[in-house]
Amino acid sequence: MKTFEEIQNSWSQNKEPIDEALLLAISNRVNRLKNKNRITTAVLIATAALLVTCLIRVDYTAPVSFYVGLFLMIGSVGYRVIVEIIFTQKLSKIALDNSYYNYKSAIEKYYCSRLVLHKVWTPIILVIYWTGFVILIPTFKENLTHFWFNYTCISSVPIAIGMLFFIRYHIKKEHLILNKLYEETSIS
Amino acid sequence: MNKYSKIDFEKLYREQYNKVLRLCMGYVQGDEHLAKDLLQEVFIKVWQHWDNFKGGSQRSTWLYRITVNTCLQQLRTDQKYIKTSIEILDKDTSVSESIDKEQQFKSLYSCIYQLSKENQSIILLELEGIPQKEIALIIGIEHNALRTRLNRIKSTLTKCVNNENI
Repeated sequence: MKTFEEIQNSWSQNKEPIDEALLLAISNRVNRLKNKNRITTAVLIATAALLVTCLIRVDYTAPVSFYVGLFLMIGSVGYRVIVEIIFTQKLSKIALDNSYYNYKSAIEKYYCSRLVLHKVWTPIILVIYWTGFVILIPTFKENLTHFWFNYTCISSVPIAIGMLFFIRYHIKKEHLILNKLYEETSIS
Repeated sequence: MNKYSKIDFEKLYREQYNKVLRLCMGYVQGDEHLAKDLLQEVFIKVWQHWDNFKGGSQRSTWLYRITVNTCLQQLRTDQKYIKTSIEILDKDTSVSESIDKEQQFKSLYSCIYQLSKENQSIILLELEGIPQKEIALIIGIEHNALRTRLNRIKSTLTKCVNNENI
């Protein structure tokens, strides 16, 4: 392969029999993805329905601090889940049939906004979540046995550490994707 | 997707199978297993976005845009492509002296891998014999800019394949 034309010739001669089994696998995977989406939607609707039912049926005799704490914990997690769903939809709406440059630019914007979410909003949400937990501690002490109260308090520490590592992992992963995007056009 | 669209989809798959597979192989240095994974991802996206095709260009141009964007996005986000790419590069840089056809291809894939992802896309589309005006549309740059750039990439690639420094 001395000239570009020779390279091109050899390239186009590199042919394989069409993989018909893969065609079936594609069809199956598309159907599986559709089912997965349906299941996710059903789970989210069921969870929301359960929460609403609990809110309606609950006996509102506990101290106000209990409801404030509970609202902060459930609200912060719920808000984060909704934001994540919005981001997933945002990514799927970026037109794949855009030109390379337009698609890359849209993807860059998407990952930049993800980093803002991870670095600014997620820590704020976490602080709200843990504030809710701290507010609930007196209620836990009052209503739980000594063992379960200690268990709740002690287990909260590894949960908090796990959350921090989870956020760190995602920040690193998305930083890496952004760096790759920036590098794509910088090496000749 | 209705019954007729499904028939059209299967027709497109069979017509474009080899071109899309070669493009995918170019991104993963000739690893056929990974290339088939990429091809599968590409055609899943094609299926999912089938009704979004507005007819402003040829169906094949639309397919190549999806191929380039899907392959590159997979390479950015999926660890399996990232690790393998590095491993294969380490293995392949020392084999360019061989005159065997398979080795020549390995050397070619290795040379393509040394280009930026953007230039990889341009040269892979050119190797497929896709008209330059279409490549310009797929990449999103002016035709004249593409022509100049393509000459430079072709020369870099040819030199590399013939074992010269790039």
